[in-house]
Amino acid sequence: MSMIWTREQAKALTDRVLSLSKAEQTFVAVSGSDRANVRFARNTATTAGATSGVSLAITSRFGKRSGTVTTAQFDDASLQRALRAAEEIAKVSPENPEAMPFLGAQTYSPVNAYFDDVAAATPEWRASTVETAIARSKQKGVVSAGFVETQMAMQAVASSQGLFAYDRFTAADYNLTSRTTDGSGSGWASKSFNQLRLLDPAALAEAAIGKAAMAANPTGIEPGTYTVVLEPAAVADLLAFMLFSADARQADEGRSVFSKKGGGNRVGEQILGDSIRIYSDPSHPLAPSLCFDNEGLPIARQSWVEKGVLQDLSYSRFWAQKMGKKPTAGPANVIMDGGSSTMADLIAGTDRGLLVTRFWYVRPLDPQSLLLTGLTRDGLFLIEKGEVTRPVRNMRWNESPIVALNNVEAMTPAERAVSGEGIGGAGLALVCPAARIKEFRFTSASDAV
Amino acid sequence: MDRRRFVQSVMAVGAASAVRPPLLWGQGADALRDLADAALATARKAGATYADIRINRYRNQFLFTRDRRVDNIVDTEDYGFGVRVIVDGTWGFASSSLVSKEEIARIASQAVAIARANRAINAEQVRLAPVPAYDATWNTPVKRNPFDVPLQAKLDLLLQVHEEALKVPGASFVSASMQFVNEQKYFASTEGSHIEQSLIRTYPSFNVTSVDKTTGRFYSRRALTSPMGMGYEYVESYPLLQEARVAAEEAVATHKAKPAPAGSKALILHPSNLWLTIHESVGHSTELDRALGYEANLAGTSFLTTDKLGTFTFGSPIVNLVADKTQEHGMATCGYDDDGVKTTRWHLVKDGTFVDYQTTRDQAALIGQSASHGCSYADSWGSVPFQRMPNVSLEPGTRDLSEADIIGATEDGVYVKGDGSYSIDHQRYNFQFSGQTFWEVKKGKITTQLRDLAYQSNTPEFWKACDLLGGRSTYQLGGAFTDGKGQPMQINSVSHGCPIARFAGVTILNTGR
Repeated sequence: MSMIWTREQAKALTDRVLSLSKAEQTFVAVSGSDRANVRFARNTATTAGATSGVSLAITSRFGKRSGTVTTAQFDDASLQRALRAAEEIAKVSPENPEAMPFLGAQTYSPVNAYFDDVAAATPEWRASTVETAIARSKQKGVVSAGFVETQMAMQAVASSQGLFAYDRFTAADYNLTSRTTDGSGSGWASKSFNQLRLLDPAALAEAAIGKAAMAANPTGIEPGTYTVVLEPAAVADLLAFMLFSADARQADEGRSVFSKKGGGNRVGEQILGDSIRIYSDPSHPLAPSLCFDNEGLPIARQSWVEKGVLQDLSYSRFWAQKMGKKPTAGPANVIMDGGSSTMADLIAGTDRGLLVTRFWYVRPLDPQSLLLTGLTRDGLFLIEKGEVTRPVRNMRWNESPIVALNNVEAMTPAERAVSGEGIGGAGLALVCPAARIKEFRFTSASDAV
Repeated sequence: MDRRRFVQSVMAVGAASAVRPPLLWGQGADALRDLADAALATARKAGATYADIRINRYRNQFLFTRDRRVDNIVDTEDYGFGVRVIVDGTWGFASSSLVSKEEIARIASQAVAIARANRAINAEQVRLAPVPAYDATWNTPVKRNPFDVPLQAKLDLLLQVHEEALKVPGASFVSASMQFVNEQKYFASTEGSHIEQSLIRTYPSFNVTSVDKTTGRFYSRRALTSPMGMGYEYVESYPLLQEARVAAEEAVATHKAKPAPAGSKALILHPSNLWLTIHESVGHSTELDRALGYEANLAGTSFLTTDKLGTFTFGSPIVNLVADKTQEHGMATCGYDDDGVKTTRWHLVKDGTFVDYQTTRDQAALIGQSASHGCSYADSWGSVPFQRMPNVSLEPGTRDLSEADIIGATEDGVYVKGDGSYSIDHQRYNFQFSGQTFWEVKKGKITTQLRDLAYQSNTPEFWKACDLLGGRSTYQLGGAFTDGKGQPMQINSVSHGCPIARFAGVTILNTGR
């Protein structure tokens, strides 16, 4: 039984819940998903699975007191039980002075993020995708591990104030890591799209397998400051972590890299290099997204950085009201515009530097400067006089995206990217370029391959 | 926001309570047994040589407060089942949130179909280590079920934390939270097991931030609490209010603390910091699935390859690291794993030598072992069980050395408390950790507070440099509430016990800019 209900099915349930409610205000959310995947490793399938689920969340409110329950039982008796429980808890809960009234009817500009080719993907298609990678890996004498997943999801929200929103999306993800049999070289590739036709599993397998061979038998290099050519997957990490920190309230309260000394935030300041433009756009063709967020707020195009100048931060509905600003919905994607260089151009323009496939285990180190730490993984190469000369051992880096994105020298056109730890997959979609960045700090060597 | 989380999210905007499914839980195990047996029979009939089913109910309660007000209370329930089968030596899995006989039959058949679809690309026949059939019940021993404690009592305590911390001049912001988890799990297999378990975890925490608007600098200090496999008695026994005040004082004092000295130093780690280093460098490196390449695509592999088993010098002779799925208050503690294996305790590193891995039923034979160590776990009814970390702990020293003894024996070093930033490479060699508070140690005494400190090392070098261990009296349990691994990502909770420990000649970094 598919858990991807139609708009009418979702509305019938939310209407029923609202009609049975005895609270002053009620908010209802219905979400469902059908997901199926295959994992492989050591050039063989390991696990495969499918999961289907749908759930209902009800929030009842009396004044500024709220109660939320979740249930997966949708008969009237279960709904009544859930509603009474939510109402009971709301009555005994403390007031939240920051509670915002539920939204009423909104105007949405939906884009199509749901594609039938993903919905129609079969276990056999997933198996054949894996089979192709395994066959090619064996042919090339490498050992591969990877993951293929297709998913469909639907979401509906409604309120007693007249809100109703429904949307759905699909996602197809494929990523793999190929390692040489002697364990001296490793390569990786990953992509995520809403449409199956945009996903090219064979090309991704070729990329990972080719990278593993290129990366074999690396030699050491001294940690220090290098010019780096970051593939989009690595740029994605810098972009994502910067956006995760872009909360207006944190900045206004003086505890963020976006806080202004003496008070307030840095909106309007030049914080990045003037070639940098970052925005969110639910209608971006490579990253179409849902048209509302989990409160029912319409997701619209949103500018974050323009010519290096900070345009806006993320405002919750409460903080926006307090500060006289517009609340920020979502975002469901982040786009960093690129340039017109090719990857070959980026390498050719590097006198001495490092080509980075992806980052790994990126974590915040100092929120004051947004200093991050992380490692390189699955292909690090020395560039000398405009040419890739040899694979080198992985290294740990400590750097801030604020510093790095002030040091961008050139970029390729932007593309859909997934970071080393999966940011940019079937969640917050990322679109960004490869970039050449000067003075990137590496602090120690790693023997990991 | 992560789209998957968005789709699965609960619209949590206030206090909440969960609704108990009326069908099964609370009506005894007979109804569950009937459903489970129907699933197993369907799978067998469809051609499965092995099948198991987990019918699970999850209850979570999260209370978040910030700046003297209740920000959010979320109380969720999740209920469903997953069927796992082996067909012609190939795994298949399917699951659903709709718990009915018809859906169970459909899902069992789907699991078999998925296994069949993947048979052609499976080059390794699944071989399960033998396990007895169990008809058993196991529950986390708790003195007070956190879900039975009135909301008001929990909120009152959290808001008192705010008051205590904000009494300290210079403390700017406070957040405090409690998280409670209850996993109710029913497992049945074609080998005859019927196992019912209820696991409870409890995690109180807070964070204090001090902002100096004139300098534009801010420092935070998080609670040194750990999540525990305990009930509300943990919250009641932990000195939260006293620690809130100390934390606020330390956050404020950090503004005037001395910048960390970069270089090679003796490093003394409090258990509130060392647990995370154990988790990352020992817990993950001794996972057999990583060592064999099963997790190569995301989590990575391990430097502890199978040729090192029994011979590799992992640490100094005083280092003994134990895996234990039975440890008191451990978050990975349970009676039986998700393969239906009874849980045990075993050494991973003995007297400095690497001696064993963490295993599951389908892995044991791969290293010539005849029984599983019981490390199979799935984080949901909708997730495939796979090898997850047991509680992994460092044994205390043979002499009962105190914190004062270890500091007193240190000429020039730094002392780190609390866990902070953490990062380790994909083979678990190179790591970098920070902490909550840092202290300079000179000539056997703590001399001053430090700031902006991280330590870097590589796993074998670090453990070989372990030259002094505190005694049993310094032993504490720390833990990870949400350790991630696998694809799709699954969450595991795991505890790590350790004494205070000292490591010689570790690289210290100043992270200030």
